[in-house]
Amino acid sequence: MKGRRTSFEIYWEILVYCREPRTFTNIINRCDLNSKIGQLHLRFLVDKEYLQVMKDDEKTTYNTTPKAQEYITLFSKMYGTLFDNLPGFKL
Amino acid sequence: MEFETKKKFKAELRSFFGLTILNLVIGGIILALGMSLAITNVLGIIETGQIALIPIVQIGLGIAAIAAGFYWIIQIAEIMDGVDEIQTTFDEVGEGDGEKATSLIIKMMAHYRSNKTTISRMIVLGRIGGVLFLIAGAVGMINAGASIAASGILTENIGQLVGGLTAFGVGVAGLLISRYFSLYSRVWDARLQETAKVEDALEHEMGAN
Repeated sequence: MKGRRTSFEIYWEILVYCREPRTFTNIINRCDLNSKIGQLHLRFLVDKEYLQVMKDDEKTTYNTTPKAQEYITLFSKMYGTLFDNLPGFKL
Repeated sequence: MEFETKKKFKAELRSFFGLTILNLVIGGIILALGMSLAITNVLGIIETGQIALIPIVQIGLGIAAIAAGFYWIIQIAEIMDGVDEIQTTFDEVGEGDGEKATSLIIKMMAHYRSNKTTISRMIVLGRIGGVLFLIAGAVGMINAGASIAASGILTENIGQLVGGLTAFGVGVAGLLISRYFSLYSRVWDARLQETAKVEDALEHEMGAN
């Protein structure tokens, strides 16, 4: 399902997915990104040291660092609180 | 996802899915009423061979209702498709599967952002359509009541009364749907505003590291 996500939501998805080493293609397919946007997000996360790049022979993979865990936890906690208020009707 | 959040998410998903199904039914009824109105008047013109203003207006209204019904069904089907996908994935989320649940919240937020305009349009259309159908239903019932008072209970009068009642019912449903969508939309708009605060906190977290 395609939908409008914010950059922070995409970061969270990438970081959770990259708990195991993933290739660029894996990431853009799983997170539903085009390669240009994917490159931008990955570069940002690598610069922040939330992702580490690992080069093995000819294969480059991305892996989430322990530093990113705080971001993942904070994001999950804060998004969970969004459901404190319900629309107030039941069908 | 905490148990309480999961429960709330499930309840909301179920209510919204119910709302979309109700909308689909109403869209179908509007389409059927439009067809009935247009076809009855076209047949009347063919039968009498005379073209009068009122049947022409009613044919126009019928065609407008058919178009509105089609539009309504197509739009709601798109919204329903996304909600159905989220609901299916939600059913697979087990206890303690927090990250999968957060991923669903993201999907739900993205789904709302993508359909926000359509939902706003539904609220306005529901109100306008609801009032129009209420008026049409009331006029139909008054006419049926007058015909029954004048010529007694005839099949034709009963048909007119049932038509009026149906239109009135669609009008009430249209207004109710509009109200429910409005309540849903208000909560989701507040959530979108809340995400701005969440983003500030996350930006701060990223900056601090």
